[in-house]
Amino acid sequence: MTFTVLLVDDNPDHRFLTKRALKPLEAEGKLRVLVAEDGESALQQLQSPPLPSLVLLDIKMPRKDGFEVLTSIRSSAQTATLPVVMFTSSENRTDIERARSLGANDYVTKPLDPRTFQDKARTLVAAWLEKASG
Amino acid sequence: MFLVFALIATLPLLAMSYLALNATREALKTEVGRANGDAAEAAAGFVDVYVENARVLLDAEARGPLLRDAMTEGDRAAMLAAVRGLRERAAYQDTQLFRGVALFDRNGTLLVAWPESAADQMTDLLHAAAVDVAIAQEQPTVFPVPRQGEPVLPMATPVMDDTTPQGVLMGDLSLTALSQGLAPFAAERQTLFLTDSRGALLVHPDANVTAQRPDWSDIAPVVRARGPPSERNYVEYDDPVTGERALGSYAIIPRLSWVVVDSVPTSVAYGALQQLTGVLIALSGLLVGAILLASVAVARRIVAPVQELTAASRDLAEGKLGRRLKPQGDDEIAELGRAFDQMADRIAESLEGLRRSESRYRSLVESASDLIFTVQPDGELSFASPMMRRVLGPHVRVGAPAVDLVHGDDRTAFRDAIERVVERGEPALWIPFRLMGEAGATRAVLTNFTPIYDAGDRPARVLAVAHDVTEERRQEDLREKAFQMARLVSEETGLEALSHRGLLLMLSSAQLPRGSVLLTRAGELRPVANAGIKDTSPYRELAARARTNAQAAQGYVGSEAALAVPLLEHGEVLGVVVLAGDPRAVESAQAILVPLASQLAVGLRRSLFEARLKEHAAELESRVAERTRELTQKSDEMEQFLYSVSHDLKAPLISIQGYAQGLEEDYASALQGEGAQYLERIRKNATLMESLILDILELSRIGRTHEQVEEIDMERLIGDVAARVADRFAAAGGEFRVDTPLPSVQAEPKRLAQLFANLADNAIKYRHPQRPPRIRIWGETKADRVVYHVEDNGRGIPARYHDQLFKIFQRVPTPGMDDPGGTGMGLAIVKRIAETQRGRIWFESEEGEGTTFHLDLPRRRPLG
Repeated sequence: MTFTVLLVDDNPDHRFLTKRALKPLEAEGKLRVLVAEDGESALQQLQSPPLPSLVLLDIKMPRKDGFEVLTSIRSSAQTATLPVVMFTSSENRTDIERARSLGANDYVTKPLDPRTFQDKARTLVAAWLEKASG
Repeated sequence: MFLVFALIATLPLLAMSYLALNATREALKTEVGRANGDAAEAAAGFVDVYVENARVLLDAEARGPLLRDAMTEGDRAAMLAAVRGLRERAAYQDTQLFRGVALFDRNGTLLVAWPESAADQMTDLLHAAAVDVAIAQEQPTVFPVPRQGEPVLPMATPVMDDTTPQGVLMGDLSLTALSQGLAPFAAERQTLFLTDSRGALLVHPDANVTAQRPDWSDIAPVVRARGPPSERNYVEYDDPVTGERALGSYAIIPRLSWVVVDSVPTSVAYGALQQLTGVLIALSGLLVGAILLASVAVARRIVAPVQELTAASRDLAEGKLGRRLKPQGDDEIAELGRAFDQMADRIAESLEGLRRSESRYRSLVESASDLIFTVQPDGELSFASPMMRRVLGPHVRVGAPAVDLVHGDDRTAFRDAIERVVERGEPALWIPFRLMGEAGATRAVLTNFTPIYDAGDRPARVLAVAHDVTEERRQEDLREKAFQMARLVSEETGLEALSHRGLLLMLSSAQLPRGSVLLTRAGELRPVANAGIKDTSPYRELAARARTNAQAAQGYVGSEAALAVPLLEHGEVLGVVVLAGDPRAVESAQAILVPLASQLAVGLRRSLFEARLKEHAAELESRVAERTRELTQKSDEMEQFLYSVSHDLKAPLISIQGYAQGLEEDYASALQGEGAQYLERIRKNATLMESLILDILELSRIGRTHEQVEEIDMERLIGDVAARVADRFAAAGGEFRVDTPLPSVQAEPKRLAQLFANLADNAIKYRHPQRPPRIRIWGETKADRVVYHVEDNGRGIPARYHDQLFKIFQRVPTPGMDDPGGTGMGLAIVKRIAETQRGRIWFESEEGEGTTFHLDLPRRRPLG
């Protein structure tokens, strides 16, 4: 079993850049990236097993924004404890707090600093591996 | 006290006993007296008979032939035999009647006497005289009993020889013997005695008493017997012999007029009485004792409860309502006690009710907005509602004279009003005066005075309810002032004179604020409901005509002449003045009316103008409010727009930056020389764009979000700003100077810091290339505002850019010098900040010299 990341972002450029930041770990076989182009398809994907190990969730999306998706994820029993990391704008305190209060586990500011992001990803994967084996 | 009463109650009992005893006594007296009286009568009869008998015997002997013959013959022996025979013959129950019998010749010489002792006894003067009388009288005669010596009754009968007295036969009737004969008539303890007609005692059972031959003419029974005859033949008297009180019953012996008295000591007569007295005393004693006992019992039974009732009543009178008697029993005292308890309950209830209503009244008074107080007849303030102190001040004092609170000029009126109410007992209504507040402030009031009665028919005090009309007065004053102008006008034009002749002046204008008709008398312009006019319509027609034609119009209304003069100003009819009254007066008033009309027109114009002005002002205000609303809305919309734009712009920018970085990282080798430069430019522009967007965001946020307004220590705030930019100043060899003291201000601290930071930034950015940058900051307080100054020695701003400086995206071009960078938002942000802090920012600048910014802020704002 590999660490799967579900990346939810409507912006193709953001998706490309995020995947690019995770490329080294993919190359190492440490994780796999799945993609959803908007909130609705993300929720659809989450309904059928297997569940991903982490959801990377953007906020600004059409039709269903990140907060709505997060609320749906948290209100479903299967996904209530699913780790979710929100993409936020750097100066937007309100968004960060709202994410926290809705149940996001962590947040990453845009624009991404690839190095920092990679380190974070590695930590998460390591922790996941430990849990899975122990 | 009750005992005294009880004792007194026995007095009638004693009196009755006394009366009873008395009555019994009387009864006994009568009974015994009568009985003894009968005895006395009987005795009297006996004596009569006794004496008569003796006399008859004597008589018979004297007339008998024996004695006559004897006398004629002078036969002494025969005489003696006759006398002796008589004496011995005359006897009663073996006792000789006569003490002695004697015969006398006609010369009075004793011839014979028997017993021999009689010869001496019967030859005294008395007997001699008696003989003489008998011979003279030629009749049998009884003679009074001699005063001294043995009591005898001399009797004489002449012995007659046909017609001539030859001698006298005399016999001394022995009363001693009589007394023995009387003895049986007296019962035990009774004393029977005999007195002669004069009251001298003749016979008494006690021989010693008889021997004394006392004069008892003055003892009651004798007196009575000798007096006129009466029903009662008994009388109480003091027995002269024993000294005892005795009851004497008496009878008269008819022929002799002697008195027989049957006497018995009252102690004997009323002996029965004594028994009765004893019984009565014993009974009385018992009864008194019983009464005393009863009264003691009653005292306990009645007096004690009564005392308790008295004490309870006293408590009640003193206001202690708690005591109740709760008596047991059915008797009247218990009933009284229960009635008392009921009464006490009622009183307690009423008092409670009174207390409740008093507290309601009190709270009413305390909450009433009128000033309520009470004044005693002597002028003392006896109560003042809390409102009084609140309105007038702490100098309101109960107990001080109420006039002290009244304005000096009004004190007489106040005193008069109080007096009137007290004297007449009637309320005085709407009395105007002024009350003195603190520091000479006055409150004009209209007061209702009402008399308050306690008991009695004079008012105990006066209740005053004062309605504060200070504000109304003020309004009235204003109105008065407003109308004084018109009055002046009318005075100057002599309209006063017109009014005295009873003329009516009416002013009508459809353009007056309320379209009302002003009716007036005496030149005072005042809305008067109907100044004696019931119907103004006749005048309106005239006024309308004048208005339409812009010319004076005349007419008649009833018997009155009317003149309507239009008030013209620049050909416009503002109103009409109508004059009505006596035709002559109207005519003479015409001359005055013309100048009056023009004056009034001026006045009217002014008031119309004022009214219009007010309207316009109101309209302006509402328009301004509208605009402000629109502006605010627009500004909010603008800020919203800026916010969303900046957010939307960020996303692609992030992508650009991301790809640029990606290019750099992954394809650096492929991009050589120019390619790398292109990339570099891309990145730089992206960064610039980011700054711009951030600044726009910042700008939008300044208007949208607010901090807490605080009291700011400006020296500290500027100090922090200085610290932040200190390195850059130092690196450039420059100086950041703050002139203390810097006045504090109330504003949003972070924003203010941002403002000064931006200005400091600019100072560095636009420094003069040839000298180190220097900033000087100072400030001052001006009334309720504070002004801060930020002066730099930079390159200054050319005049042609002054207008645009605070606009967004404006950057002053700097040809020939390094591009200082920046987004052009800094000053726009500064301006926005100044606006949100209710302040103003402006500057002076000269190209090449430097710039000075000025920030004007209100010293105080609502904190928080």
